[in-house]
Amino acid sequence: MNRFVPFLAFAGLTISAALAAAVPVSVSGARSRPAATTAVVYATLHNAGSVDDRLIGATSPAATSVGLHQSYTTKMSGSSMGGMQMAGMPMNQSMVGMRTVSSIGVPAHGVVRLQPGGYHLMLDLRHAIRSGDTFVVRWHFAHAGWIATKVAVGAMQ
Amino acid sequence: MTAIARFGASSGGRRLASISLVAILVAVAAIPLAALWRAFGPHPPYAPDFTLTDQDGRPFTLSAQRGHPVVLFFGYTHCPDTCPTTLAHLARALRSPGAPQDARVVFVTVDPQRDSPAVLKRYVALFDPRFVGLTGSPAALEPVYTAYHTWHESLPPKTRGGDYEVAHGAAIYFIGRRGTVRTIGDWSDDTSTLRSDMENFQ
Repeated sequence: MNRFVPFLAFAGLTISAALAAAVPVSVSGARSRPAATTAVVYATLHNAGSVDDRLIGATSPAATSVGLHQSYTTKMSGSSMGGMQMAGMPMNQSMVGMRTVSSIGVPAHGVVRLQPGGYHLMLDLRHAIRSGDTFVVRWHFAHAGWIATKVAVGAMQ
Repeated sequence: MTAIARFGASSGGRRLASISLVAILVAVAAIPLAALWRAFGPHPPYAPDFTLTDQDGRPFTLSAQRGHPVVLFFGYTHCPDTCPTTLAHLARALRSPGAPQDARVVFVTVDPQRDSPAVLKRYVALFDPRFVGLTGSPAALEPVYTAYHTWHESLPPKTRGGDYEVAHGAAIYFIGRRGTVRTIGDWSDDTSTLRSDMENFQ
């Protein structure tokens, strides 16, 4: 049995190397901030391959559900609101909202950033997360399949 | 004026009477004029007052904060992205050396259905122990949203759990120590803009 261990280890390495070569999609810089019930995850999705891919879902043991979301900001100028004023000051109010998206495209040789005000994962947490915690997110890509990353929880810049 | 001059020329007594009459008229007219001036003339841009309930269940009245700078922002605790980003930026701006350390950073919910004082207490404490979270009945909150032009709309639930999102106005109001609106920022302002607003709005 022991004789097989180096062989199995070698085979395992070979297979993972082959998979890494075949799966050109990666996720880096996955991060979140302290939260009680609803958490965000930002990250950078890389596609080094020559085929477009899409993030189609994600799961996490830390969450009861994980959604793909996109925040949007609509600028509304004071003039378009009929000269909207605030205590005598003309003001421009922007509106923020969020929509669920079915997938996030990661083009061939491209990079997509999940960041504040744009794409992000939304997690319905099982427990509160604190600064210094880490948890796992499994990212599901249409072609690359599943990729697991650690998410660091901390105050963000 | 010409009429007064003509009367004055005919008789000294009449002249005195007419001057008294003008004085009385001016005095009487001044009372409503002063009221009209106060109501419609240029006035300092005071932030609209309100009383809501804070994260400890106590009443919070904006005008009672006079003497302290107040930063006012609207959002909801189930918002994962923009609201916590804004609060994190404000927390960092408040920790900058030039920021007024007695400032009240006040987060008003646009989602009173889910944001009870207890939920808000846990939420605001994640950012800074000094932050205040306000909620209230829809009847108490609606006039505040109106006064601060905070349009909001609960979007239909997308998940089986019935969770919903709320689109809402993203202005940040910097209210000075005298209760006047000094600057109006926006959630998407970068940290250096927020820091400079925070240092200068007192």
